[in-house]
Amino acid sequence: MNAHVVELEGSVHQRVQKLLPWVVTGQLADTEELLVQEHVATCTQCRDDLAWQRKLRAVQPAAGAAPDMEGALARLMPRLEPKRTAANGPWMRWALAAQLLVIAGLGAKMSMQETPEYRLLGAQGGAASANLVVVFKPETSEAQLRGVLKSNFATVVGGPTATNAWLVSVPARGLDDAVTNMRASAAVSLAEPLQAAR
Amino acid sequence: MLERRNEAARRAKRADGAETNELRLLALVEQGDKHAFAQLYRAYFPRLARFLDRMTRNPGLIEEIINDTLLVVWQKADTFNHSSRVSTWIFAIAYRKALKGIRSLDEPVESDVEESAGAAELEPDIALSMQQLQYNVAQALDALPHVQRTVVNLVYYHGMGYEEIAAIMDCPVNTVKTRMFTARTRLRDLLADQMEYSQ
Repeated sequence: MNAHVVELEGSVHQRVQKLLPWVVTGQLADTEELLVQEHVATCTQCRDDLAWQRKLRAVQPAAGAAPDMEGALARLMPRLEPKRTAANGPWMRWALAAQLLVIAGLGAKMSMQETPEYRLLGAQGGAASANLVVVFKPETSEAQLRGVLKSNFATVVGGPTATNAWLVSVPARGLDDAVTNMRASAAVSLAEPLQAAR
Repeated sequence: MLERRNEAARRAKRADGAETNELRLLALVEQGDKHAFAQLYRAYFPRLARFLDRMTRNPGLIEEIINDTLLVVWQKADTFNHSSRVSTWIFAIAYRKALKGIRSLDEPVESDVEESAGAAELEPDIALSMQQLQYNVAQALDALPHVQRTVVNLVYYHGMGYEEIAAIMDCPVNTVKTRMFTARTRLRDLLADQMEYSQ
């Protein structure tokens, strides 16, 4: 046996040695498993190593007392903040109610103004009153925002408020459809009819 | 060998079913479904507790790491990019949280070599009960540096492949193989009196 062959045998043996743990757990790819099988058939050390690892793995090491799962889950649940898409949690309802109050007040104040000093995104001069509040996702571009409003025949009456809400006006007959469409839009995180301003 | 292959195939099929279910749960969690979250939590709690038990003996810290891990799952479910298994993603988060949590408590992440050598001088006993053996194996594992212990834990007791472990521990595949090789060589020495090497 020349030096080259010895080196080659050595490298296969080393490679197989490093794969043996995953032979024990049955996790090798077919090509690797074939390599291991062929080598193990002729290598006593690898066979003994395999047998020893199987024995070791069969012994589940002693473990400490496991923490109480249900108690831990109960402690975690209150830390879960509602997702932005889920506008049905109790926290969201309160936030929404508070926001609507602010907006209703703002809407009333704006409708008392005779002439707006500036026009926003095609806002109409005083004629329309807001009947819908819309919150767009922060990443929404102005073009997307305009597109959503236009496709729902909505015009901006005011906004954005401190909570990033826009007051818009849509024709009364199309209000329900506009709410449905906007809620389905990827750019909108909230669309609520503004009862107080109707 | 054929029997073992069939067993491996059966296990792979079961694993695929579990993966599909976990993907479904994760999609619901992404939508804010707390019921689905609780299901995923209950599926992972025992596995993570078992995994972390080899990293710290502090049950309070184990709960904290698990809850911090699953909180990230709740918050970042939408960032799961499907390039790995759900379990790989969750274990990787847990591993990072564990390293951070253990360091913040000033608990030794690495074993003290001197102390370990002493602790690992296990009493020879021909008629060791299984319970004693389990205790001795646990002691021997604890004597390993934590990176080696983690690899052994994930291979033997969580059935993970070397690629999954490399992803969890954020290291090259070869490092995983070398750590496992070094670890089992050391374990064989530590347990020489308890578990005969040759057949």
